[in-house]
Amino acid sequence: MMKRRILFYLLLATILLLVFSILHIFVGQISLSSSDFFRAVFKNGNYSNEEILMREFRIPRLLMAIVAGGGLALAGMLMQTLFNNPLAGPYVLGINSGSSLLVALSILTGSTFLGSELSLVFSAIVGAFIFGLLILLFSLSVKSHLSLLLIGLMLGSFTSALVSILEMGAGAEQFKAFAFWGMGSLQQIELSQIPLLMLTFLGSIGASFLLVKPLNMLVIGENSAVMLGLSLRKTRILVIAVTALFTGLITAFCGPIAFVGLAVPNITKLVFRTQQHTWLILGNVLIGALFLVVCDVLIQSLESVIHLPLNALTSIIGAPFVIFILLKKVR
Amino acid sequence: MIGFKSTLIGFKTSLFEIENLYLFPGNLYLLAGKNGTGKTTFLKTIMRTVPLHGGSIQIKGTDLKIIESSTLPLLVAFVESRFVGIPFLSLKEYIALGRAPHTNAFGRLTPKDNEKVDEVISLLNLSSYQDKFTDELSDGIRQLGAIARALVQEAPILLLDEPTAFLDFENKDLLMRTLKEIAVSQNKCIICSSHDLDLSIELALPTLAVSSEENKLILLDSPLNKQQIIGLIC
Repeated sequence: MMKRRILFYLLLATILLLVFSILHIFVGQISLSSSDFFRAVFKNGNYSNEEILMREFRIPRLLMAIVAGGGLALAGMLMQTLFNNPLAGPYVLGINSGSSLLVALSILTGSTFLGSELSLVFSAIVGAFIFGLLILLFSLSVKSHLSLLLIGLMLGSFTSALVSILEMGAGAEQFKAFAFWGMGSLQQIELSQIPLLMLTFLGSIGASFLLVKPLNMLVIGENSAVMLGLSLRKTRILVIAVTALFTGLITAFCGPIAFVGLAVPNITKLVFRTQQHTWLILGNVLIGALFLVVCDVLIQSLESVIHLPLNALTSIIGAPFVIFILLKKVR
Repeated sequence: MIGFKSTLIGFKTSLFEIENLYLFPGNLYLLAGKNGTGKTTFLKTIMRTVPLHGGSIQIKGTDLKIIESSTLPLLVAFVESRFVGIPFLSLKEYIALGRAPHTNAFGRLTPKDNEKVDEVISLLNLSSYQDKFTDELSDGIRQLGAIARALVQEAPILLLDEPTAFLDFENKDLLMRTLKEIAVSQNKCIICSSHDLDLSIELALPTLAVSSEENKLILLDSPLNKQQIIGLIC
């Protein structure tokens, strides 16, 4: 009975994701046909302008929206279960501040070692991991849900202060590059980076499935889980590592994206009405991807009227949602 | 089953000593003592969430210190004083989590696991609640659920930290009687801390009393009256 409900919503989310993905690909100022799409995917070389537009812009942007939405939602779910806190998420806990800081270091100081694309992703993941451990350390001595969020916010402010100091010292060229990155966009990914993106994304989803048992145990609280034989230290490190993979990867390519990781896991839980993480992982990936694809369709179709930055749109939807949860759940 | 030798219980300072004591299966032991005398610390020391302050504890003849972390839940199960319930977690799913020490790395329930879960659910008469979410149940049913979770763990030793603290009289009575039945029928060694001395005397439970004068844990095989226990612990 419960399973039927979950399967229904999984199917619904999949269908909606497909519909909006198709919409996403064909919405835009230049109209493209479905034959452009198939030729762009299956032809080798000699692309027409339409096919190049499809290959270089539309498809990477769609994939980026799916990866960013699904990945951030999953990262948020991992944080919420680990900290047993419905308000946790990679953005509010300052995990992507870590990415921002290391990306800022590598772009603004213009160091050649850290300058390449691959190492940009790598430094974003390392930054996220370090800040994840930092938040973990704080969570050991802070009991209240809200205090942990405040610490996350402080980490964010602290980092942005450091970043602005770095900005002041940087050259004009580096400053521009970093400002461009910081605005947050799904359009910065290039075709050649897609394999790396997809591989890390799918790998992290696979890793999340390996964590299903500890996650399910953490639902009843750390103490009870430990008395059932859960190795807390191992679980914490693994969960933080997977979260850092998602957050770092996405932050490196898209810049900071707010609230997806906070709102989607809560929506998923409300819709699926379960604490079984096998279903929650699938649900978060699908609903997260759907959420960001819908957001991006909205951005693209309104482009001629108003230019909506991605981060602004997710915040407009996400911030009221946080207040809603505060009113309903955390007293 | 559980053996204590010059065991010191305490977190930062030693709270009490257990000189030489053996607890056996088939018994429900009541753990009595004033607030703050270290009843919870005692139970948590056996669970190893509080380090042993001194001396030694043996479980089934093995020193507690050298038992693997993955083996301990197969020997000892713990029930906290209150389970507040979790949204969207059904009672059956909650109880099934007690199988975690037995299941594989993915937590997959085998037919044998499911059988055990169903068996315990019907033993405690929880069948009609099993599909309800745990945050929508009454305190009494939830506490029985917590005990069910500990029972499906199939550990020979069961520790309960004031499981009746938040229950009304009827539920207290039901819970203690159920525990006594289980101790006998499943041949388990159960230690249950509680302030309900009347009930334990009525059920003629062997009582572990924390004597506040000597700072020692003393076993009263079957205390005759309430005054005898109170005289010891106060």
